[in-house]
Amino acid sequence: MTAMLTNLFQVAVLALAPFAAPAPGSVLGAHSIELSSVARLPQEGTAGEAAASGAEGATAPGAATTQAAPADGLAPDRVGPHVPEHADEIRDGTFWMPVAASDVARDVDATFNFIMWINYVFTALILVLLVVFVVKYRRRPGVVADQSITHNTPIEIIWSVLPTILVAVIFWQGYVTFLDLKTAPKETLKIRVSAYTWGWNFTYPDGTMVPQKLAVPQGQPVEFIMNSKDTLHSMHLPAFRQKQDVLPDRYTKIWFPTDRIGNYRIYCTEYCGKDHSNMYASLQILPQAEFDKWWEVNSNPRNDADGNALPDLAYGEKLYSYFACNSCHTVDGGKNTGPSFLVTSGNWGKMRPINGGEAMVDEDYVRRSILNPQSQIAEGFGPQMPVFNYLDDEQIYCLTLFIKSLAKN
Amino acid sequence: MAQIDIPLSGRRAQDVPVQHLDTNYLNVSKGLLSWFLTLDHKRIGVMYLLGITGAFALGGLAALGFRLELFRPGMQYMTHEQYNQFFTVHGAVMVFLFIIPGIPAALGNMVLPLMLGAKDVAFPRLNLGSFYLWMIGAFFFLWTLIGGGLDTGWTFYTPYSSTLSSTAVIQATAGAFVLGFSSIFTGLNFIVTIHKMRPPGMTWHKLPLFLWGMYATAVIQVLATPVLGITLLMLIMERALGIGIFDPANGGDPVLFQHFFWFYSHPAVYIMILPAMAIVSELIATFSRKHIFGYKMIAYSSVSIALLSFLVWGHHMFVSGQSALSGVIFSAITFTIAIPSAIKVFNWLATIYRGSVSLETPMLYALEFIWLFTIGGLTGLFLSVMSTDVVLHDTYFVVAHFHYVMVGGTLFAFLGGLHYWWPKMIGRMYDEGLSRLASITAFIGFNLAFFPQFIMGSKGMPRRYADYKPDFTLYHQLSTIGTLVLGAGILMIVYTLVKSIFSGKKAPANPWGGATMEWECPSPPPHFNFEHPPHASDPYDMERVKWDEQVGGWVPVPGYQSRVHH
Repeated sequence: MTAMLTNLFQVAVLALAPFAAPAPGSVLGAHSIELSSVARLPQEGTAGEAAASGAEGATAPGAATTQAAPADGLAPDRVGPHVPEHADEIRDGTFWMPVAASDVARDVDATFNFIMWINYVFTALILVLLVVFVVKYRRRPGVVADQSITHNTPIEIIWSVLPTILVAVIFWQGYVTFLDLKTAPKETLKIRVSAYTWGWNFTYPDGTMVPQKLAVPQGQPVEFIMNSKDTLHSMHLPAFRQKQDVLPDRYTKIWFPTDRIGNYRIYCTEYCGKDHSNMYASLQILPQAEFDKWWEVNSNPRNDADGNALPDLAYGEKLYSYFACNSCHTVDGGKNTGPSFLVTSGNWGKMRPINGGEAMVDEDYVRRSILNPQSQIAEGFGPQMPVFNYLDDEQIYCLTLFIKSLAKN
Repeated sequence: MAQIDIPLSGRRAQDVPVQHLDTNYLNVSKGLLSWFLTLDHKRIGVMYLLGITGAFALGGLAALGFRLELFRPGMQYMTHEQYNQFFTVHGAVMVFLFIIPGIPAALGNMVLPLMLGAKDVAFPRLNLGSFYLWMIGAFFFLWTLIGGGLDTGWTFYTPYSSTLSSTAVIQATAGAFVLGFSSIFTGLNFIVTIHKMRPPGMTWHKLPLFLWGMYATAVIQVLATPVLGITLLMLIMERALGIGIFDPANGGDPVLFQHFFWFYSHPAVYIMILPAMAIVSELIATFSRKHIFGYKMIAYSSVSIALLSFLVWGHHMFVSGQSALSGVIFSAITFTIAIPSAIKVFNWLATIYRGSVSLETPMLYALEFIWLFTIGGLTGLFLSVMSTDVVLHDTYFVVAHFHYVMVGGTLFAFLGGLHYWWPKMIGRMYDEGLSRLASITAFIGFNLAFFPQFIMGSKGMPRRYADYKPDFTLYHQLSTIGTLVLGAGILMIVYTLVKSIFSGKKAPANPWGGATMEWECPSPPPHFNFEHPPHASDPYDMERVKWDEQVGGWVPVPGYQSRVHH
């Protein structure tokens, strides 16, 4: 009864919301975005302490796959190399569905199963009637069709009203669960998500950004505040029965509880061009202790799998796949959406044709290409590169070093 | 001029209607120009049929291409770009060039005036113009294929289509724009024809259900398609001039495009399915030899589906970022469409009940339609319920759902109608055994191709993926095998029909026992269809015709008095 009243209240709030100012923390308050750090993210000091415990970091789940690109640095030809080939959630799921990783997901499944039973019953009923009628009333000599039946008002009313009641029930059920899917709890770990062609950047409340591979500590529900750097994308979290389109120039949100420890898949489900089917991310829900270890290795991209700082060139090579440069730029001269870095490297110090003129290929050329790609589009290519203005100077330097080094190898 | 080539064995000629004519619409004039400049609705129908068959072949080959690519995870013989172009070409060609004009323009043109006992449609020149617009649209699509391809998906979502795609978006959009006018002209023509050219005695409640369906379809064509035209024009301007309506980089709103697009494209779904339902109503009645059950409910449900179809576009956008309140309203209205659709299925079942059912090829298609449409319709429930749609949206579950409706529904009904009216159209019977085998092959292949897609979709497999993780391999392989079986079935169908043109036995005027008026003129009909305008009566009073062994077809019962109770 209480739940029912709560639902009714939510309906009322929802119905009025478009006409009222958004309430802080409400699902509809799309503009009230605050990145408060509510989860216990490790502080500078704790990360250092944990680092002292040495090689443990390497055994934490996720750390083993940090080096996504193969050793030769070539773009891997398997999809979403940073995501496991087989998803636990599918392996442990039912015939129809992956694992339900939250209470809301189980509610969605209850509705799904209820509709599935309607499907089974009606499909079977119609099939049986079809077969029985066709066999029983097959054309036989001397037997004519009964022309007296042209309509039957009571029956027609019954078979109009019964389905109406049935669909009213499932509409209501689906609507109530939809509200649960949309309504995040008050206290959430808010993570900013930036989608681009073709990857995902996740930024924690303390400003730490990790691309493609996200881990969160168990316990605190997580809310993603998302937007896109270029075209439409969609955040699809099947284990949580959640999905939300990610739009340029507008924020959308999605939330999920983190009760169930596990490794989950994130897909992009809004077609976004060439590497749409490569646009995976992985989500790990870890116990706090394991999360702390994960954090120590992954919160600083300069760390290798053991938590040690990489030298400049190796760091540049890592960033090449870390920021998904490899989805558009090859390092073997192969043609892709953007110019191959091998060609860029080979032209070092020379002029290169760009739209509307020429440009000298040097450190500044690479820097401009990263920070303001539309200002100089290499001849024969389209204006597809998103702006990577979140790379810091150190990262741009190391990446440039890596690109420059390619032709010499 | 009429030559009767059946044995009369003593009966007077006027007792038996003319079955065949040596001079009919197919050979009344000769030469290519007599076809290209014809105003005859039947010839235009035949040209449309050839055109959409070509489009279907192109769209089907594209599907075969990417299904083979998807047989294994990893890229086998396509790049990602090529895959994206293949699925886009498949979708765009099938939707704009095949399925929307399919039943109305090809079969509708052939049959609609005949069912009214009329000589032609109301505006024969507009009808020919509509065909040429279809041709121009098709040329734009060919230009697209040659001039850079298309990789936006048939939905042309912005800002990908307006800004990022480097393919021939403008040519394709212009093609769809022109095709829209073709569709509007056909719709206008049919509305006026049904209003103004019904014969004496054919009140609205004696209109055959095929015509009710075509009428409801035409209303959507005329009212919804202009919105597509405007939208596509704006997309062209956005891409060419950067006017800043859809691209956020220029201050536009990409979700606005989705609203505009689905405001047309959801009603367009009913442009596809209403004519299919209309055909099935005819087939079920004729082959059960029984008056259609609940005539008025079927007729009104077509019209109510047509009207409601304008109010549900937002159910394509539950996760697009539109407000939850809009979502609730669209979800609720969507369910109201489920009811008239369910009513139709129950009415068809009730028509078969206590009928005299014969399983000739068209009836086989009608029964397959009921089975596939039931699955397609019921799985739609998952997608109209908001909470379950969130997880299923843009996965293979949606792909399976709409293929069950669009292919299992519309294509199978189209094939049913084609086999039903083929003897009327061509004047020849096809090989019944072979065509039944082909139908069953296609049916099995279809289910194998699309049922596994429900399962992988609900497990999370997104649509429009050039590659996938090995979790989904089994389902993709079943689906690809099913596609090959379906393709084999389609080839058998084409073979059977083409063979009948050359070696089929001559068709009688009424081979199936239909009681609608198109069966009263000879097969194939003469240029002006009827020598004397027939008088309309109840189109589902099956006892008006009886089997005549000598004719090898069904003939009117002389001096028949209706016994049907209303």
